[in-house]
Amino acid sequence: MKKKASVGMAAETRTGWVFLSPAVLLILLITIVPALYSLWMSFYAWDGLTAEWRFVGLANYQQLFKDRILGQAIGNTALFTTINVVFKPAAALALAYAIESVSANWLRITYRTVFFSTSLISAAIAAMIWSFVYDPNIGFLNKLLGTSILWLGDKNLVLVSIATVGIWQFLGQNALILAAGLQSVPRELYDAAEMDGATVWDKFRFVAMPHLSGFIAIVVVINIINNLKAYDLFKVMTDGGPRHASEVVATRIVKVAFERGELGYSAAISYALLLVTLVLVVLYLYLTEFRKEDR
Amino acid sequence: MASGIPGTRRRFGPWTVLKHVILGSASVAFAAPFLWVIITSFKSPQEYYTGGFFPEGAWHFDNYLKAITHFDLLHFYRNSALMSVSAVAIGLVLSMMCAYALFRLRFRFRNVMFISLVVLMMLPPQLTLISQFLLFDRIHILYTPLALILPYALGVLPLGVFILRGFYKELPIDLDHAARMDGATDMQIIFLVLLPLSLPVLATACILTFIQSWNEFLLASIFVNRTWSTLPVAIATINTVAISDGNQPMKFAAVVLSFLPLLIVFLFMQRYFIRGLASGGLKG
Amino acid sequence: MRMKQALLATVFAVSVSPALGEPINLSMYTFYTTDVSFYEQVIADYQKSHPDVTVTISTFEAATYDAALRTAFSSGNVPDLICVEPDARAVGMYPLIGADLLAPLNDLYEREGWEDKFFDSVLSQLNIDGTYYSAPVSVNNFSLFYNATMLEKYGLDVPNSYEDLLHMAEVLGKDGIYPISFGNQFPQRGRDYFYMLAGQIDHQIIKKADSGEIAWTDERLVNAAQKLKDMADDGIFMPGINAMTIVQNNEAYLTGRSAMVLSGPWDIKPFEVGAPEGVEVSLMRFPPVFDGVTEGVSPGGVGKNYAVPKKGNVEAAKDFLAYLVSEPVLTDYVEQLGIMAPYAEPNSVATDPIQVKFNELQATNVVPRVLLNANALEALGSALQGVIAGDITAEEGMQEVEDAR
Repeated sequence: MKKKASVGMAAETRTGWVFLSPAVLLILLITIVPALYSLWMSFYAWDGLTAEWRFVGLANYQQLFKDRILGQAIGNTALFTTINVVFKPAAALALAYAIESVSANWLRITYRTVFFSTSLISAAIAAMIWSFVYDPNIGFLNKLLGTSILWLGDKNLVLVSIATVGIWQFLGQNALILAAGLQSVPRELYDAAEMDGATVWDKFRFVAMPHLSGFIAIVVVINIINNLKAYDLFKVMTDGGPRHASEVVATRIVKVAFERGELGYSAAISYALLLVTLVLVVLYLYLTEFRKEDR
Repeated sequence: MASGIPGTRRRFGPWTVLKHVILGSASVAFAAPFLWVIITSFKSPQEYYTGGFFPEGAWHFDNYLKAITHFDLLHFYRNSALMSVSAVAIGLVLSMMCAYALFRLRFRFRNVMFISLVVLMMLPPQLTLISQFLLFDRIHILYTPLALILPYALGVLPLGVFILRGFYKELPIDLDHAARMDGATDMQIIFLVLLPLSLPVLATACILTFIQSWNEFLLASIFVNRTWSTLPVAIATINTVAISDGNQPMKFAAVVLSFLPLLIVFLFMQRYFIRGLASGGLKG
Repeated sequence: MRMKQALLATVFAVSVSPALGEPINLSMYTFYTTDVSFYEQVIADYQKSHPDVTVTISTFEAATYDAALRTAFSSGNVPDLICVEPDARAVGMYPLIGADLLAPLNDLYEREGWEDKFFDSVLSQLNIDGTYYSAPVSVNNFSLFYNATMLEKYGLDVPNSYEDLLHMAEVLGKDGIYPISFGNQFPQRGRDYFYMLAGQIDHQIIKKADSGEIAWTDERLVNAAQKLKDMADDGIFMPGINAMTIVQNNEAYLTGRSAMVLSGPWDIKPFEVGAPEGVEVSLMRFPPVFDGVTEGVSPGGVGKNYAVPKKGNVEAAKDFLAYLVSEPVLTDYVEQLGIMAPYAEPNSVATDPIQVKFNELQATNVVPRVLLNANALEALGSALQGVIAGDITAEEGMQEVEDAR
């Protein structure tokens, strides 16, 4: 089965398809077909209990703009995602830089482990732990601060309280990815900069940053994707309460589908969410790529 | 070795002091909820309600033993391990084959296929949840391990391909050509030539996707029942049972046991892990 | 008791089971994870006396049970026996009845004599225009647990009126203690309080509002919502109502931050295990809080409840359900799990003073705690949170419910 290096592109494309096919078939079966089925469902009214599908055209999509609770959920999701996409990577970058510049090996490893360990647990368990931390009676936080703040019961506070858990959980993971970026910066560049009398800030801005763009992009994209569809934290900690103050799109989708039995409408919300995610990710990648070319 | 931020070994400037103060207090703050959960797991049911930070009486180490026997935790460990290991293994083999096709061959649809994979990552699980349930029921894998392994393996795929991408792109293509000259098939190139070289990167992908599969909750709570429940779902159940038994500390013992294995694995692999990330596909 | 149970299972097998023949596989769905080990034993006994029957029990987390159930129905792979909430809630049975998916059980009720056996509150709740679609294995009753030791220490009598509650608030308040802790973060307990307060005015008022006979904006319902708000404002309820879960309001009671808490028989065990040394856990009816009302009521009625889907193996499932509701099985159930059975006989095994008290309270003045209208149900929970927090007035709150109907 010898092949020459000059085999044509068509032949390599054919081989490529052979290697892609198991994955593609699996994706088709497990994801694409169900996703298309949901798309079809989104044009129907269906309660999931009987075989009766009633065609409603675009009514489910029109409903998106009239749904007051969904509007609130979208606002909350936007705020939650913004906190996680803007604040978290910035803090993670500072953290990564600080950790990686620690010279003692054991101390650096300890820091890495402590900060990363929070992302080893599932969101459901993190939510359980933090419900305990926020507990108004026997909670760690009120005990520590000597306060009686209603972390999860105050409609102005609840979203920030939950976002804090999100940051606690994944700041270390973000920082670790960025730390890997910092490690890929050749040491000589720092040495040269130091020779020139560069400050800590200069080294960070002019030596490290240019190497980090790809790593920052992945962190931002992961945060956009994961936070827009965040579900477990909200489900376990508040289930959207009080009075929908922590309702997010993902919890709404599940409630609409299963508690209200409007499966078609819930599929329509899911598609809207996917569309928004796509637009944001593409927009972000376009802007950052664009900037790169500009340089 | 020649990379990384040089330490400020020689000087003890105000920056260094400030940095250590901030890092030190931040890591205490991050570890605090864990520590508190661990301490609570040694309390008696009464102390859970009334006690201070530490158990006042004896430390109830038997909470752990009870958690394991009373809640049959080993059974759920087995399930979690089965699902995660299978999913990661299948997912990474598929990732290697995909990455080979996309980044080692002159593949015409490279960008289209790569972008489709990234889009796959964005699908909210709720979008396919119901349809997948109906499908799995139709093909008779509902309530069996496959109902979780297949979707989890697909969850491994985008990340696996992404991480392999940069690495495959940087390895000289002559490597493949030489192997082909020696009569190696494409399969052999992937698994005998490229695989050994990409082990550090794969280790990273392995850790990240293992954590993801081990911790998944939504699908695990719907596609399987108690027989094949994984740990996160089992812990949720234990939460309910512990409340009705009036023994909350035992629940926290179970929580600690659920994340301990991952913590230990990470502790041993963290150096490898960072190196893998650094050499992997994240490089722009 | 185990002996007796096995024996009775055999009698059942002989008397009601169809002739031995084809192997029968029954699949049972429940979201009561705490029941699993008990039912595994019950199933083992049943299978011993019914060698042709195999029962598989599938338990789901409450949060995902409705998803599992709905998808099971839509896929056609329907279980034979399902646990359903007797109202319009997520896993409620009314949507299922509406879609004509449940088998009528009137013949079973007749055969087992359940109409003469079950509590009236149970029968009136489950009888839907003359048809029974489900059978209960437990009943709920919400009454007031109180810390007798604490009341004694402060020289307080058990409260019998709103004035008594105010007096308690004053006396206990000096030590930073509140009369009642009430957690409404997930709004079901708020609804229970509302059913109870409205029920004090008129036992049937919630049923009337739900059916549309009266509007949700009815003055009496507004008064009930307002009373909830008053109790919060007057320091009778511990602050942070919307921030506390039910588990957390129990914690407040156990840690001595509150003197009383509204709950049901399932909390007897956690309270008796968790209470500090020397604290006496006691039970009473929630006192009347309106002028001119002399008796309190307990919201209650059907608890854990099983139905038989039409598409399953209906006859075999009915037989198994009859076994689950039979006296020996329920007697064990009461004994082991401390719940309250839907008829008197199994409950007589209870010796725990609080269990006994619950049985006594269950005999009279029980008001229903169900809504058939899912939209009103969701809106009521949210509206009560708003009223309690002071975001909206009681009138506005009830208007929200009326609008959602």
